[in-house]
Amino acid sequence: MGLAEDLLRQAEHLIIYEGTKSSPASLRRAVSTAYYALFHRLTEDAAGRWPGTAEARTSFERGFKHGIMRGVSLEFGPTGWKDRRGNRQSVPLPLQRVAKSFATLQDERHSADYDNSRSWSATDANEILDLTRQAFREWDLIREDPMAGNYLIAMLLGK
Amino acid sequence: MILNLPKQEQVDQIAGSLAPDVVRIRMREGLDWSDHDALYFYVILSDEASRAPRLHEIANEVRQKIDQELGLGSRNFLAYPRFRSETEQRELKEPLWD
Repeated sequence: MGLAEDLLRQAEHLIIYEGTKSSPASLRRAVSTAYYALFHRLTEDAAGRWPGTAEARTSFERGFKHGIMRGVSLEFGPTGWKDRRGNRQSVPLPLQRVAKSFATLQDERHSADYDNSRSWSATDANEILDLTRQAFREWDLIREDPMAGNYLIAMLLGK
Repeated sequence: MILNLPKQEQVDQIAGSLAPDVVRIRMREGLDWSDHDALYFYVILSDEASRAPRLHEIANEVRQKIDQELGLGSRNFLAYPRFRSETEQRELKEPLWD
């Protein structure tokens, strides 16, 4: 099991291990962990396409910056992604949903980690986990499409 | 500031079309954590709809309707639906969701 799947399992565990009344801290950690699960799913996939040593691939993964990944994710929407030559290319629907989920999860992660005024419910946290699982499934469907490769490269390079 | 903001009445129609699973939806404009314009949708679900596997189905329907019926799918900001059961809201008592 890769780190991404391991983090997803941990997020699920954080919601259920205290029974029906999960503590706010566990719900927050679950949401934050769900975001990192998707982050690592994407960056591991990108690094796995690089024929280097394990150490080199780890360095490759560290090249991804959260803010840049968010900005690029918003560009992979229904109106299409504009490539370096300014040509607009259509984005397959599953990839649009993965990209949107990534941006959404990143914001929810910030909220879970830093917004002490927000009250979390198990329903809210469970729904965010559902969104993450769906993003994993849709990424598996689309990951070999050339546009998925473009998405990963754009997130690494910021353009 | 978001131009051509949807009206709460449009949001109420979405909630009505998904009753009794969706009890109500409240919309608030704001900034997200990256300081971009954002629309937040506070969705109260029936207790039954807030449990698996119904939660995943109804949440997807809410997300789709917000994007399609409010025309938000192709806008340059994100809509953030948030979900809570009736029982959870009775315990948490947050005016934002009422």
